Amino acid sequence: MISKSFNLYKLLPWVVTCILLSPVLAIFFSAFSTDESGSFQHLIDTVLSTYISNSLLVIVYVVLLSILFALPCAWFVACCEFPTREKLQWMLMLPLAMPPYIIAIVYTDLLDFAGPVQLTIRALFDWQPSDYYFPEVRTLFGASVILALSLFPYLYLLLRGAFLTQSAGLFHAARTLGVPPLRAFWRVSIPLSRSAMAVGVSLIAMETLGDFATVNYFAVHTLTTAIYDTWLELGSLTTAAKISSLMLLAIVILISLESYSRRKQQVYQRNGSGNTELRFVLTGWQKWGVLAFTWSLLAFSLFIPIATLLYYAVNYFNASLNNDLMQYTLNSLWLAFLVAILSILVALLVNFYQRLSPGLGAKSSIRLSSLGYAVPGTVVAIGVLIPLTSIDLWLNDVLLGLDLKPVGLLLSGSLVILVLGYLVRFSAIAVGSIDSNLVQVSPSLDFASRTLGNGPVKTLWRVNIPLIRKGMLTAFILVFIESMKELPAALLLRPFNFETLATYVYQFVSDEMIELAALPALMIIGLGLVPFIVVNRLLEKKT
Amino acid sequence: MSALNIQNLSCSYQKTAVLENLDLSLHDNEIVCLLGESGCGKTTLLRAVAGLQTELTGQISIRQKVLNDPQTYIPPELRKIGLIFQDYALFPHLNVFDNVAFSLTKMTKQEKQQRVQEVLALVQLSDLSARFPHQLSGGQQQRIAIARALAYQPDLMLLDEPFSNLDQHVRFQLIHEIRQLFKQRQMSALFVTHSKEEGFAFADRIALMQAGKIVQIDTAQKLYRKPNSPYVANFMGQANYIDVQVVDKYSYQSCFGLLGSNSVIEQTIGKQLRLLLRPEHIEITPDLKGEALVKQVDFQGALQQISVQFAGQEFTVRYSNSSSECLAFSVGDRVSLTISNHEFVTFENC
Amino acid sequence: MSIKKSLTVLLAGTSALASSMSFAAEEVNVYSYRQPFLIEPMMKEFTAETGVKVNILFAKKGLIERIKREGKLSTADLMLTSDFSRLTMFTEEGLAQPVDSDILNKNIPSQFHGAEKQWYALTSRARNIYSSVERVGPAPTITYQDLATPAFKGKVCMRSGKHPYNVSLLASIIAHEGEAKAKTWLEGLKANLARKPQGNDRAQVKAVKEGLCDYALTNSYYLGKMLNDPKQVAWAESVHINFPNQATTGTHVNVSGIALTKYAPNKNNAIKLMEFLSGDVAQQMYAEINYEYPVKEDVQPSKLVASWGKFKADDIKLSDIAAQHQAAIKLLDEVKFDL
Repeated sequence: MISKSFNLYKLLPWVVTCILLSPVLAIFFSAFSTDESGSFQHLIDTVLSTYISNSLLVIVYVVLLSILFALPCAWFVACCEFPTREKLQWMLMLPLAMPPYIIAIVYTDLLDFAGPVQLTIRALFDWQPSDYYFPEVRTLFGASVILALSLFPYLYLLLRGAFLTQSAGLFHAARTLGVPPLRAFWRVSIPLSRSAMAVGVSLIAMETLGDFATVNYFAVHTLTTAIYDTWLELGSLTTAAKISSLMLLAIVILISLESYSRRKQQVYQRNGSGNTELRFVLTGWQKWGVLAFTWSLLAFSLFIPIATLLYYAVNYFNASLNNDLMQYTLNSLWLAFLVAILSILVALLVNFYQRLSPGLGAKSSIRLSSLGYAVPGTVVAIGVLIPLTSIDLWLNDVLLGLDLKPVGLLLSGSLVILVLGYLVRFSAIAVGSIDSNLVQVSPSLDFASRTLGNGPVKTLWRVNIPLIRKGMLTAFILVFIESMKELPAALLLRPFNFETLATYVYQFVSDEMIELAALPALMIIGLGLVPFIVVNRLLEKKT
Repeated sequence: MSALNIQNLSCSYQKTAVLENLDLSLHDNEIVCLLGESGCGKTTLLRAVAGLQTELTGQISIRQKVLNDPQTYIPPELRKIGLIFQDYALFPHLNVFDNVAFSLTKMTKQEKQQRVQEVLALVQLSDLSARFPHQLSGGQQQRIAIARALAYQPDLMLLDEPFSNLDQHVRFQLIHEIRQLFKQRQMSALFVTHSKEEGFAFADRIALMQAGKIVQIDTAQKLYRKPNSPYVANFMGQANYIDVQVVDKYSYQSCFGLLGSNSVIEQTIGKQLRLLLRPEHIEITPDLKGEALVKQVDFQGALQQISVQFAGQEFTVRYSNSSSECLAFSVGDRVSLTISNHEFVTFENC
Repeated sequence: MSIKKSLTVLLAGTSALASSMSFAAEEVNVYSYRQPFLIEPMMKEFTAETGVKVNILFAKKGLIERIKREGKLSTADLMLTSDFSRLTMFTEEGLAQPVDSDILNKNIPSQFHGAEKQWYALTSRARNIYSSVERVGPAPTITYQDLATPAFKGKVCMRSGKHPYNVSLLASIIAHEGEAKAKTWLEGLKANLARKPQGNDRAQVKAVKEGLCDYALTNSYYLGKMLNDPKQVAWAESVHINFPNQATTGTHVNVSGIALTKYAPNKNNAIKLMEFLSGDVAQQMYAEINYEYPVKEDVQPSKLVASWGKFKADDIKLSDIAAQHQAAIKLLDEVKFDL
């Protein structure tokens, strides 16, 4: 017999949530226990309003641009038939493997005043700088375009999935009621994919808010700039924490509002057969339009940056070849692999906690465990340092007190801290993608398994995991790729003599030396693409 | 030995009581139906028995084994029950064989094969074991679900609206088939539905629930004939009520005049009561001088259902078309009504 | 059961991760704000000479926070920075310890010492104004103050005002002239910019070459680096290097420097490395490879750098400039310099 009072399944998710939340809490705690230096007032008096409006504008632009890129692509690929559709459906995910700071450096290099594009224009027409108009690259809008180019696949991925699983019946019902396809798409398909849209948009918004490298590169100053300035230059942790909490508050409010507005929409999708056999065959100008749109999107987000990097990598091959590159590659790979696996475990834990005991508690554990995603990497990094160094210091004191050999920085001086930092940042992705998969699994299946003699863990293993395998694979790829690209936390938290490809690239990127950054950058992209293609092929075969 | 015994069970959700001090017990080999409107707590009760509903007070036991009481909570996987769902809940990633064999983890391959074939034969779907759930019709899916539960050899079967997703003609065929199967396998079952016809067809006894309580539990016949409240009376079928006054131990005074009772009336003389009259208890005859007036006629094949205005009240009565005279009533006809001799059911005035 | 299993796996993983940090017997650990490729040649030379392995951890932000958090357990021995505001911040946080070494005292002139010998500068670099060969020619008498006068409207390019090099230039102007005048200067400079501050120092030179602006505010050693790169030499040849304020306060000079951490576990090796970096071999390498000015007086700058001529450096105390660091940052916000 099992007693009512003890329940491991309730305890463990909260332990994990607390661990993931501890960095954020640690920052606030230490922030509000230090003195105010008046720099918050200074910020309010000077630049804060500009930073806030910049942050909001970047988010709005990036979200709108991502929708503009992703929504048509997802629908074309899911519901229309045209040449190259099958290639496109997985290739459109590939831009995820492009680190935005790399795309940024490529495009500023290409489109800058002194870059090849403008040089060519001037040489061609023999113009002087004042003779022509060329859009400034390093602007807020420019940064938004770059971010959108590397982030839109999140939305594409979710929307395509939604369009594919939506029951075609509803769409056809709309059409028999006299609604033309495009209107039916607008009135039926889009509202039905609202939850996918919401998840995608909030992922993109959080990633944008947490970005520093790209906007900084474009000389756009946002709230993240304010955090770095006040904390690392003015030394005011309080102000930095106040700004961070403002940002987090905005995120929490947004997410809650969204899920509140959707609270009545929870439906367990029945085996949606999808639209696969009823795709619209595109011809004529429609076909050419779609081809032009999708392939030029890929060109800008994938081919042009890769070609540029290839050009530099070839030209500076000897200078950029480094004996340790292989080691950095291996480091990047197994770190990304480990983080991806662990984040899936975290996601399974909190998601199943919610499934086993739904309610406010479980819901908040999901929300809280995802908060780290919206926090800029360096802030997470220092946030992770606070609890882990405290544990280390305490542990060593205890050991010394017991006359034992001290262990030094067991946690914070090792890769443990790096892995934790990554987990804090990226668990949200795994939690989100598994959650959206799991809600489609009817709870009766769990009950059926339970009453057929399987405990919760066995049910998880035998019923739920096989049914959400696709979501887990997606989560794996996304976290893997994010970890390959991750920079600020890696820079600050890694132990001595540990380089990843990203940190290695950064020393050149930070000095705008695209020529030396090109080769390792290509390796990041390449390694991100490989699992992508492999796993995706696997999935395509299965379905 | 009782197959299921529930004592004083209460359960509340967000501070409103869903089940309130509920008692229920099933005999061996008995099928009991939990009948009620949606939201009456019948599904919660079923889930409580399955162990899927926590936060309960009270006691639940199956065959004297305590599953729930203040000290105990047996998780669903250890309860040995079979649960059948409205949406079948077949695992979409497994084929029929693997679905049915889902609970048979400790068997050898051969034993598994044997058991699965046996239960598939019971539900007459032996040849579908390689199919996947989405390749089956609704009725087939539900049979597989039942086979899956049977393969586990449960002590008690719980069915949650199992037939409501099925077409009318498949439904009653399946109900009779499953009932026969359960009787043959001596299976006790608790069955939830909102349709009294399903309850009549499937169950030995019906427990009618209202707002978290069982208001009456008995055979279908008894519930229909001897309801213990107007709620039960109305739920089980058409009901007319008239005001009556107790005249003596054997008769009531009413708008139909003096009504003689078959049994002793155990009420104080002069007391006002309401008397239940089922449509079949009122006889209708054409009568040009009758005081009653036909307001509406509903031809239903074997009978006519007729609304009649009488004594300032409207009555629903039935006229069987099989009677030799074969009358046809029409609106505006004058008729007279008489009460046929039957066991009277009265309720307190409220 | 399987939760237990996964916990075991997790724990095993943790200990595997923890044990991956193995340390050689003789080593020294450096937290560096400078890119590794800039200092690796000197470190390799040090290892070759002494057999002591140098471990470098590079980041642009947050290293001071990390060392602070690690406290007495920190494995970092040295903090290497590319400007002195970080050095002073580091010492003010009480994270450094003084080093009294005859060799350091001998090699490094005293104006390049921290107040209590808690840090030492290793190289210095001038904040120059480059002028376009084509449109301006040499401008030997130019001053930082000139850049804010109306004659320069639309002609100046520079990187973000918040970059440490620019912050310290502004701090030095505050130290010389007071906050009010510095603010007027900064506003004037902002009004003269050909474009919003962006890019790095090289990008400013490029912009001059392409005719976007005539003057660029840039560090000295970039020109050397660009002249040495066949693909960038054309940019470098399009500018003259000028040392501003020769007639007045002298050219603003920043330093890269090093400090010994308070809890340095490899103190002896760390001091050895500091001494090595101040010595002839390393100083020569700084000069030849990175085109920086060596702090050791008898080590000559590289030929190229020497060809730019001697110049009068601003001799204000570095600590006086450091004292204005926060004021400079706030001033940049006030005039919304980067926005």
